[in-house]
Amino acid sequence: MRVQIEHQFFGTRLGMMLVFAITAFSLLALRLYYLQGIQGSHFRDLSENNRTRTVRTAPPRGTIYDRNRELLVRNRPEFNVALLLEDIPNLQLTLETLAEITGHSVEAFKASLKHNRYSRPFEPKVVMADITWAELARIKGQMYRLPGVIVEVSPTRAYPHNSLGVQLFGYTREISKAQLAKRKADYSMGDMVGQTGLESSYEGALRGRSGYRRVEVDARGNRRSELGLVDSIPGKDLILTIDVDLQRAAEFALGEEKGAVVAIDPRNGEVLALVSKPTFDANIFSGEIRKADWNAVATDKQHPLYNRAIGSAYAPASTFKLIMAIAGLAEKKITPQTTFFCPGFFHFAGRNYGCHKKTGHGTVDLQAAITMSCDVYFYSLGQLLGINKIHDYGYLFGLGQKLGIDLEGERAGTLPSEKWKLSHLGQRWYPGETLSVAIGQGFLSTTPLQMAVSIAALANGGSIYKPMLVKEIIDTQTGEKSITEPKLETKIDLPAEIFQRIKEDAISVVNDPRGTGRKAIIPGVTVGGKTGTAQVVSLGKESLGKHLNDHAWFIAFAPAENPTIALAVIVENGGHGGARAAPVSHAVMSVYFRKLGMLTEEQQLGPVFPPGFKHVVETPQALAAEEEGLSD
Amino acid sequence: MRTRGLDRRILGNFDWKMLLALLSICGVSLVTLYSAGFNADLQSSPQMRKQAIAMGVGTIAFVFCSLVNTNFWRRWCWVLFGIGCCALMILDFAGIVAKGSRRWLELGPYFRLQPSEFTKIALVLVLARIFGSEDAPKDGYSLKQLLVPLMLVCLPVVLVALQPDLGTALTHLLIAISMIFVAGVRLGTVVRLGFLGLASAYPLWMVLHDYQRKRIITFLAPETDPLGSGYHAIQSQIAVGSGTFFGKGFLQGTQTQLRFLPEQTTDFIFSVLAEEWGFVGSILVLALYAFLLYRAFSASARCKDRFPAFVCFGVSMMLFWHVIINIGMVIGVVPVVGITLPLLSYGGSSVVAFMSAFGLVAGISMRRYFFA
Repeated sequence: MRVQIEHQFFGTRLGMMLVFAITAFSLLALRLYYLQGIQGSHFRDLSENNRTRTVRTAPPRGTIYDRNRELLVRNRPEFNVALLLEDIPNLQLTLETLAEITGHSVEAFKASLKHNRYSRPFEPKVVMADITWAELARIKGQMYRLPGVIVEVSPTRAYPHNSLGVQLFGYTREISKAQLAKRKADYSMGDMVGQTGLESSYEGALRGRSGYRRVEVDARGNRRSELGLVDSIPGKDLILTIDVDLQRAAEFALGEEKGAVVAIDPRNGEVLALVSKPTFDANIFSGEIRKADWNAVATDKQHPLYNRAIGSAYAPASTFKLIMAIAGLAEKKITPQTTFFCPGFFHFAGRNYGCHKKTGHGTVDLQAAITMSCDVYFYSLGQLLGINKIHDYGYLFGLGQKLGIDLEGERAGTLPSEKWKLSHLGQRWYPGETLSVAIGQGFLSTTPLQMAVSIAALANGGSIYKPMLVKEIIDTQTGEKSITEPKLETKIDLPAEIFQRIKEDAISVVNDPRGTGRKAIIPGVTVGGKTGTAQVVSLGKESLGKHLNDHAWFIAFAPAENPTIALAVIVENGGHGGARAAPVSHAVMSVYFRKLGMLTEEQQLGPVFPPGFKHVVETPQALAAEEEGLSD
Repeated sequence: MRTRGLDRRILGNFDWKMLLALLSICGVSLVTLYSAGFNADLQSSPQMRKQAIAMGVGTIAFVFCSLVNTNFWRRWCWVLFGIGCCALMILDFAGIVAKGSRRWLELGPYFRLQPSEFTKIALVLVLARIFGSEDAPKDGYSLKQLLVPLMLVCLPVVLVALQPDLGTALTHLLIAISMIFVAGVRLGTVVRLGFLGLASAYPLWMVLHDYQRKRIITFLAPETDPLGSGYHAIQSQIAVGSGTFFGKGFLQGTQTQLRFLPEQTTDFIFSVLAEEWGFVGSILVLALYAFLLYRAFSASARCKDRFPAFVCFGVSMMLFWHVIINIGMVIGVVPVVGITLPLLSYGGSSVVAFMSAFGLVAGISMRRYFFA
């Protein structure tokens, strides 16, 4: 390096600075040589032997309890065998030893390692997930032969009630890349995240915050000391409005059928049971989910993952007649004394619309029409009201809209009107279609949740509450509670006499000898309700194969004087509502009122659960009702 | 004085080697940043892309500054200095708080500027203007003659120190002292300035922040705080030393990948380089800096005019102090002070500032046979 100074501006001082700079750079180079050359192997040892790892500690997820603090979803420890590749001197040897101890194959371990290849360097790679206690004991005993092999413990979900409420609670799985991109903050690969149900909608409360541990380990992966610790913050606990006994009773009563049950407290909108069948054992989601298990559930033609209670819309059939009756009274198209003659069919526009009773009900007033579910009466009423009025009253009672329950996948169903048909189908409304809607068929479809909310609104005199699933969120660290207040969405502004009148008619559906809902009778408690039989195909009643049978509906409330429970039951392809859905209502309400101590010892006829549902239905009244051969 | 258009002939004197050295360091920076900022979840290094954009802007700035006639800088240096100091004042009184200090000027959602990186250049220009005037005292400056330049130096130094960014304030001061030294000072002035410095040490110690005092104490005795500030110094030395001769290899640095080094994409980027590329890589980078320093020195030495000679010298000192302090800190011979390693550290403002500064030198060096 030669710097030729061609001027005298700086005197010799530039040269002095040059010497200074050369000296300084040389000192840096010498120091680097000292550190990396002379002391290099010493520092290399230090870096190898003093590897400090920052280990994230997953926060325990919040626990989910029912309204009486019974455990619904909890955590259990999951033991995983993981490899710290950087600490394993001879991978093949270690894998062979591990295979010998556990009885797994080396190839399987290698496959898991390959699957893991995107994890961070110096992070343990899991090769065996959720090992049993026996395996744990065997591996722990042989640890001295397994350098770089560690057993990690992490919390995973466990479901003490197996298949109970599986669609309601939802499940957690490892966060996907797409989800990770969406919720950056505080999440990283390998984290569990709620995917469906309450686990998803209350992810924020349930999850908690990750902690960090700074662990110093030596080159063999042995822990030497912990340098720093930030504790993880456990997730918050949820206290649901669900009563596990009612949930169990409803699931048991539905048995092998497909269907749904929603039970609500009409006083505040608390959901007491939210059941969808078929179900499956949620414990397949606990720990490592096996591919075969997942495929079996995900590809099942009966769609067990699907929450029918909120996500399936069915024709409400005759259960809709209660709202029709209210509309008729409120619009003064009829009075309770108004009668229509039912010859078994209704003639309109050159066509006969049949009543389910082909021989006809004769002359019927409102109470008789509801009790026996006379179609001709409601064809006439539907014609008087017109489709737009029917739509308006349906909407008042929460149909055709999402009710805002804290679950993904809620559907609005269809509440038709002239405007709806024009905008959705581009066609004008035909008066004949009004007749179908008047008996709850045609374009009309509702979810079980909507029917439960509407019957609750009838029971409580017109209040529509937002359906509530979580009563309290409890911070277990601070003891802080956040209590959900009931939310009154709308108050249906109609005269109280109308509600009273229709409630009495609903009571006679269950209690009148001619009533279609007699299987829902609870001795000692006045139950009101309405049956429904939704046609799947509009053919005769010949046996057509199970999947084409009618859907059975039943909606009910009790005790009639001061209702504290309202429910909606649907049994897919179950046939008659009175025969197949009303007994489910009976089962749920029996358990409910027995818990309240409102049934005497004799009336209970032994324990309701177990030994089984059959036992419950066979009350003398129910048997008697069955004998009468119901139809609606 | 008149500004003249660009003469084609001067392009023949363009210092291609200097530009090549600058771009080489940029290349090393991108490789090192990829490793330092490597995110296994994303399988990428987001900071590297931002840095590449800054380098593109920096290259444009380099070309621009080299094309502008030297007289332009002589004429407008006061305005540039004024703008720089105003920006610092705005920051001190209304700046955003980022990492506990107000260093960045928010200019829109995706762009923010660190004015203190640019005030260094403005300071060099202003001092060159003063010391480069033809009526400079032949026998060195007296204290009285130095009064105005010293006050000018204090303005950005104090404003930056208030942010608080001690490291950058210190580099301003060191650049200024180097230039004053080269301009020539009487012996008596040096003695008096020395006393003044010692006398101001105590009040200065009192206004330092706790963490800054701690760093100085830790430097003097690192064992006093092995898990606190001293921890960084120790771990950084382990990282550098464990690289040995040939390094651990790309993405293989344990200290780096375990996120063990503090600020490993900015102030401690050199330890990443030294760990993964060893003594060979470290010396190569050091040599590139030495080469740049040599080009700036020789440009200064060959100037026919006082002003550009001082500008080139000032820029060389700007590089020199940054390199010495930053690498010295990483290898444990200087206290931990937060300043960037030129063109290697992550930080767009710093990259653009250094490229602009060397653009000035390139422009001056290719015009050296032409008189203003």
